[in-house]
Amino acid sequence: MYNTDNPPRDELLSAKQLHRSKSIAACVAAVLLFTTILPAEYGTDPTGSAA
Amino acid sequence: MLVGTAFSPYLIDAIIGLSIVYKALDSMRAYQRWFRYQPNTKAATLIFGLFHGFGLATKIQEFDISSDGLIPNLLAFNVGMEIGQILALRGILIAISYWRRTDNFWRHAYTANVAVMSAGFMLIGYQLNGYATS
Repeated sequence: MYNTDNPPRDELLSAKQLHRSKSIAACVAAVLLFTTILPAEYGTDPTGSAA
Repeated sequence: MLVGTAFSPYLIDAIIGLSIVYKALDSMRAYQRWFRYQPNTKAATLIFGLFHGFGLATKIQEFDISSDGLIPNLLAFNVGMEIGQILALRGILIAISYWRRTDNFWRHAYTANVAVMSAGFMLIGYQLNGYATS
């Protein structure tokens, strides 16, 4: 089975860029969870917008 | 047969969400940047594969299959699942192989992995909420 090659370190993204990507992913996930997924799946209304 | 094994499907699915985040970070080479170390893909596949199998098992328990002909049914389920995976992966592998040859593959793949990681976070949140409210 193929195991990921180790590229030279200067081709890797910086820890700062990774942190930025991770934060974007987490924020998008949180927004969609509270506005869409939890209301749709559990019938809850965390944002209170349906009141 | 293992009827007493009632592990929360929510927690298993949350771990599956975690494995999605893990794999996205792996593909983004995050572990090489953070720990100067590339985790062994075989070992990760084995460990997370066990959890994924456990997740399927908890799903099957919910079906409440009759004990009459249980073994043939379980075997047929597993064989059918493998055939389905091979059929799907056949197309996916071809598509990704072409994608790999494009010029901006690394950039596009990086962005795609951020989206995958986000989907993993959503699955974790979705399942943990289910666990908290169940």
